[in-house]
Amino acid sequence: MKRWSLILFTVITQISVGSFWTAQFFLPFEDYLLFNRSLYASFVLMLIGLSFSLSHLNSPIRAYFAVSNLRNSWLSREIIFALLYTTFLGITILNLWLNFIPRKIIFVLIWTCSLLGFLLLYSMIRVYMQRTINTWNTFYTPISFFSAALILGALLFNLIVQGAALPGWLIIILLILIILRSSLLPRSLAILAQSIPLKDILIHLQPQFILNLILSAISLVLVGFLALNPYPATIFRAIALCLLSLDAFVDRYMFYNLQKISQPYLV
Amino acid sequence: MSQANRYAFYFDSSFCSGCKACQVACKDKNNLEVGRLWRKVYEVTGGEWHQHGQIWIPDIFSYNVSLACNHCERPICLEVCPTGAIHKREDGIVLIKDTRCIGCGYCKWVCPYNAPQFDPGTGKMTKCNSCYDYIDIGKLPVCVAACPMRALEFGEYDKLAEKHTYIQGVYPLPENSLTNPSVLIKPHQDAGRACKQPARITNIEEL
Repeated sequence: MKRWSLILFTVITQISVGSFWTAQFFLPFEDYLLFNRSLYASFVLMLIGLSFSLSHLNSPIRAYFAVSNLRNSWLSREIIFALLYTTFLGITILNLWLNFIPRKIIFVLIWTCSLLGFLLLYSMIRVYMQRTINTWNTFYTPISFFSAALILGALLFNLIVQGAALPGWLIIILLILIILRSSLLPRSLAILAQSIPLKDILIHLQPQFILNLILSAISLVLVGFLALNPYPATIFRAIALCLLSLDAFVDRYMFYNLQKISQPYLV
Repeated sequence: MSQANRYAFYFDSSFCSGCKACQVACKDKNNLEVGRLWRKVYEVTGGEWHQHGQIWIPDIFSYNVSLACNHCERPICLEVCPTGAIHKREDGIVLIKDTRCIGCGYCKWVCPYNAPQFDPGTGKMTKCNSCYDYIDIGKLPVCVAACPMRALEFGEYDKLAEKHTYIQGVYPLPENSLTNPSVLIKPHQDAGRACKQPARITNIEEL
């Protein structure tokens, strides 16, 4: 259960940030109504993600201690950036209702949210890229995390913003990310295979690996379809988001298992 | 805090019989429930049998490694702990302050020796503390005192290094450059074979 809390926290947070980035770059800010939906979606996703993050702790009452080691700990920094990002999203939403921030500063507010979202993802990546965990300390980690944010964020934006179409160049980037992520995973497995017999790796990972490959292939088809049909039906957008989210969850589940089986001799 | 002044464990793998008296003594002193081990004894086995005509000849090896927290010179658990619960004393002993620990388990993830252990009763992380309460009154850690083979020693790093020949890593331990563990090991005479022939930990279910 604790592991799933982290999987949900990381994926949901990434969707929130990716969706905000997509909205920021592809919508004129004057288009309040449409931008509202993206803001609300990002904010609600962060609240849900933070709830899952709290549930992973064994002493959630003392969670406030978790920002005590900003000097050294990327986990402390991740939490601070998550809180700041959520807070700034909340301020932006409040401003939409109360209009208390001058128009010229709203631009700064939006960019601050974007920057905090990036710092949140970067901190999240650094939490896992530690020198003692060789299977996480590879390019696969940032590719997996950023691709989840961009792919799922773009699809969520595509779903909730009616009439929006993802530009062709973005579709190409998403396709490249899916291919890159799928091809980097075997490299992590190869690192494992240097110290653990391949049959032991396959016993642990084979079902998830096959499922991940199938879902990645489906992801390629769905995203490729968006390139040919920029305005698909809402049901298609919803199904695409669900399937690719499932792909992201399976990918993240395998990611956590990479650490678990990288130390079979140290249980 | 210099390397010379920090406390360290010395372990003589060639003497270790695998009796696990060290493991039991630790569990007894610290009231560790089933499943939580602050000191673990790894039984490493490897090699193979060779057939010569009708005869099979063994070419196998086996040795034990007794391992607890190594109170590293560069403890990665201390670096990553978000609450600052993990701290290092002047004498090098690394401790977890349970009033600050939130049980996130991050230290367990990153420790290359899997020293931090989760206590389900308190919801916090725990680990070998070198029996600092005993050390502070001039006694030895219980694992060292309990070892019938005298395979374990405890003391200042430089004095142990002067007294013994040692290495800092042996299979199944990871590279010592990752965290500079405060442990000196005299390897078993067959320990080198674990790098060249297939070796495995045969008591993994116990751990």
